[in-house]
Amino acid sequence: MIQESRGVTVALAGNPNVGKSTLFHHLTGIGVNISNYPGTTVEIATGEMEFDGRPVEVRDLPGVYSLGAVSEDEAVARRALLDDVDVVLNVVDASNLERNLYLTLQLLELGIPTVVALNQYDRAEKQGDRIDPELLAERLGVPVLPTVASQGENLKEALDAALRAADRGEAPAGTLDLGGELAGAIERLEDAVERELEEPPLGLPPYAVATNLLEGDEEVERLVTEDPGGEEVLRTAEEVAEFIEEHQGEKASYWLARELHGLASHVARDVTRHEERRRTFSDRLSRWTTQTATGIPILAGVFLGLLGLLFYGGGFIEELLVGNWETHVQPVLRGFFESVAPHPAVAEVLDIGINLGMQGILATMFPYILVFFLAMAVLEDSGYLPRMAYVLDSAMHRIGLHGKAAVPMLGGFGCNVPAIMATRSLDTRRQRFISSSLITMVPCSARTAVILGTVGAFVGISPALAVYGIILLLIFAVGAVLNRWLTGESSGMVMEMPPLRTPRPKPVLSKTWNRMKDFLYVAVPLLIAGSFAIGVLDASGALDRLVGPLSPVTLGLMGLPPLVIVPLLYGVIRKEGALVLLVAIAGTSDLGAFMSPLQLFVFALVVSIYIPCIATFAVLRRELGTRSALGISASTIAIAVLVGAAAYRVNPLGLAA
Amino acid sequence: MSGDTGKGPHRSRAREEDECSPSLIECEEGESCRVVSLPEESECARKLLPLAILPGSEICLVEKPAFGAVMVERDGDRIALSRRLACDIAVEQI
Repeated sequence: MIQESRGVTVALAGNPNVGKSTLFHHLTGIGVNISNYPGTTVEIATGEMEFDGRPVEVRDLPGVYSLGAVSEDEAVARRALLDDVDVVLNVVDASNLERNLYLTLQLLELGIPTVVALNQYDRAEKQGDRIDPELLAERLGVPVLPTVASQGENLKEALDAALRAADRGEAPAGTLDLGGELAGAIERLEDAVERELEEPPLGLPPYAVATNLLEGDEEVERLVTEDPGGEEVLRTAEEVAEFIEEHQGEKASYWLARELHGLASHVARDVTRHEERRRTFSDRLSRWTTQTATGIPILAGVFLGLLGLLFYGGGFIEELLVGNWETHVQPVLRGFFESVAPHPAVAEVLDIGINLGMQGILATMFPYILVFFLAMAVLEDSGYLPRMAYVLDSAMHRIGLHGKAAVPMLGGFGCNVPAIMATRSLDTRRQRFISSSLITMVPCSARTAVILGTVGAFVGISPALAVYGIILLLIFAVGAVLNRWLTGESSGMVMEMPPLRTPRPKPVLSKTWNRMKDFLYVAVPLLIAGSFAIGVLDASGALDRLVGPLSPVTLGLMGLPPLVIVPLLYGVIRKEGALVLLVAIAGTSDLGAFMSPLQLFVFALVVSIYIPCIATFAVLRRELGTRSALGISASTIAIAVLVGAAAYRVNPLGLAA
Repeated sequence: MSGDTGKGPHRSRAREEDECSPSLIECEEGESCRVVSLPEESECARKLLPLAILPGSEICLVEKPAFGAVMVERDGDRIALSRRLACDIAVEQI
């Protein structure tokens, strides 16, 4: 079964939030590769390592509650499991054994060697549960090792057991013994699968195909339909499902779930000695985060903390990087361009393309996005985000979304691009459309840089916060309008609250680095290319020709100096570039001397709202189609001009014009 | 680990009781109840089944804010359900 050259592939499977990723990072270190599973947006992390002199590949599957493919996550987990895996290391939360065993029992039917890591063993003991690993191993028919992934306890032993199981290559005996009289019915379907199908769907064993069909699993159903012998199998499945329904008085899928839970519960009770449950501090904190009276203030605190960290932490890194770049690197590069360029215009293009381009990246994208990704990884690892989603559910319903959509929208504060990609976790296209549209208006870190660099620096911190306030109100208003306009229902939300825990450095750093890496590889070349394009337009004088014709909008409607159209256009490529170019056309970094406080306020508002940047547009187009992407962009321009004009005329803060 | 996966007689009665059973949302905060039936729309049910929320399960409505999602507890697990879904889950008092 194992080829010497390939080494061993170990798949980590388990429920969400059982410490699977922590275990993974402990085994593999930080140098892992996170990539989307082919054809999906679901991330699979793989790490390669050497163990006892053998190459081992560890695959961290998405956390799932069952192997039925309801969501994309589950479909991917199942595919990745059946794709050349030598052994499954099933990570089970010992503090929640019964529920976790539901998945374990399904895994044992896949015919792949399996080892169970009884993780968070310490947590279970703290709760007053004493589990007998040997008895559990006996009941499941596979090795069981108690582990504490967060402390790195017993992980090497678990991996060792997995590798030995892979060497033996024995499939678990299978412990499912469902339903007495009904067992015959399932067997009949199993036989039909074995007899009729040319190729088992996904390489599943016949028993798993049979139960999946009875559960109404769409993916397996589709694959069976495509098989030449599929018709007969589907007919048998229908008959068996009817038979079960007649006998049990409920749908076959309910009955199967009940049997499986019953078995899981039976095994869990047999191997657990239950002592009195003690309530931990984490339990109490967990309650505070969701109860309305305490949950909302905690949410506000987290949000303000995040913004504060972005302002001050990001600002600190920015100063450090930009200061050094301006004093040490920029003059050298400029001199170099001037000395090698055959024409001053070429030197200018190079200077704008590389010098200003890199400065923009160092000034805004890098520091703010880094701080944001780090903060998001900490929040994710702590288990807080589902609680935030729960608390925000009611507000999100007003804009046609449910609480789950709050997570990608929060991500939009870092960068809109990954945030829009993350909306794929939502169930309906309607929800994806609304949340993607709204995310394009969420002030990302680049826009934060513009707001802080203009209003924050030259007008004051409260007007800068007012810009945020206005944008958030707008997002809410647009969401409410979209909710009215678009027909369709938002589907139901079912979301488990994971236990709160102290974030672990390794998974946090690994996640941050991997996201940062993707971002740098994708965005940086695009941004440098954009800077060159602007450099060429600028050097050829094409930009200046736009200033006059558009002045009725800039000066007439919004009271802005006509020249700002140049940075505004540049902002389409990169929002923070609007700030860089504003400095360039002002000819001074003292923007307060070039524009009045009111003009700066209007400028910041307009830059934040009008048109998503090119990278965001590209991802919108990919996710929602060209028409939607163009429609969203055009709407944001209209809204930006309206809001800009209104702010100029009303002057809500009474700023000096 | 109460194992209340409900082998009792209530499950065959589920359909008939659907009409008159109160829904989960009508429970008081802190009240425990038994699930009688899940909404017909299968996708929601399929999300609930692996979490052991199925006809016959005992759950407790631990948080019912004035608006928005509610929180139920089943065997120590806390699970947020959207309000609409809570309206569609028929329960009986225990």
